[in-house]
Amino acid sequence: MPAVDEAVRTAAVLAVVMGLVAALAALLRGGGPGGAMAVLLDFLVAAGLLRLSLAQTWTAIAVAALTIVIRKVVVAALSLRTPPPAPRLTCLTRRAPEA
Amino acid sequence: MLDLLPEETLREVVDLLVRLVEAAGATVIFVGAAAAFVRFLLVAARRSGANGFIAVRLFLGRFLALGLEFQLAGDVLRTAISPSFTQIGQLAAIAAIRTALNFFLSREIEREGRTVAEAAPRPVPGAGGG
Repeated sequence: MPAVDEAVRTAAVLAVVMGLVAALAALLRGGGPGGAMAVLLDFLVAAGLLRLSLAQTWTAIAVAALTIVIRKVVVAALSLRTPPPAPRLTCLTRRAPEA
Repeated sequence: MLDLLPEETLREVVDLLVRLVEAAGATVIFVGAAAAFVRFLLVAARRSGANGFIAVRLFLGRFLALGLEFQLAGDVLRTAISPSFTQIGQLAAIAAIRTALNFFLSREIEREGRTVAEAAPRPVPGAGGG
């Protein structure tokens, strides 16, 4: 059904555009470069999944798979580089009672 | 011999079901992306910080995982009518990609869910009781 295929293709393009705008918003409003990249890659994975539903040849399947793998690897690398949140040390830094 | 369910009819019915299920999966993914986009903009407008963005990524990840489940259901249905080895091979490749992605998405959702829960303020003991 060409109409359905065209709708899915348009949805994939829209997902890419939304990802770009959301990543820009994250970058400008305190998400940080890593966070913005992760947001963009999540939307690109969504677009890749939409395109994968149209894949009918080996080449199309391989391209979709490679794209998704590369994006997931980049997201994983970004999350490894992000340091874990520092523990709260309020109970350890309590001041001694003054004499 | 009485042919109660001709192969051609079965093929057409399954093909229609596959299309419906895959369309549902694609719809879930797109609706999730659109809803997450709106929430991203709201979080950016409120300046909720990095944790706000992580929470919305978690929301998007859940929609992606749900859409993938629908698409995997379509793959399983399609195995009923794939006649050639090439078609079965392509189906296996697509199903493998989707299953692997679903696995990694679930792990990511679990990890980021923990991050968001740790960052959320804990209720004061005894404050909620009547």
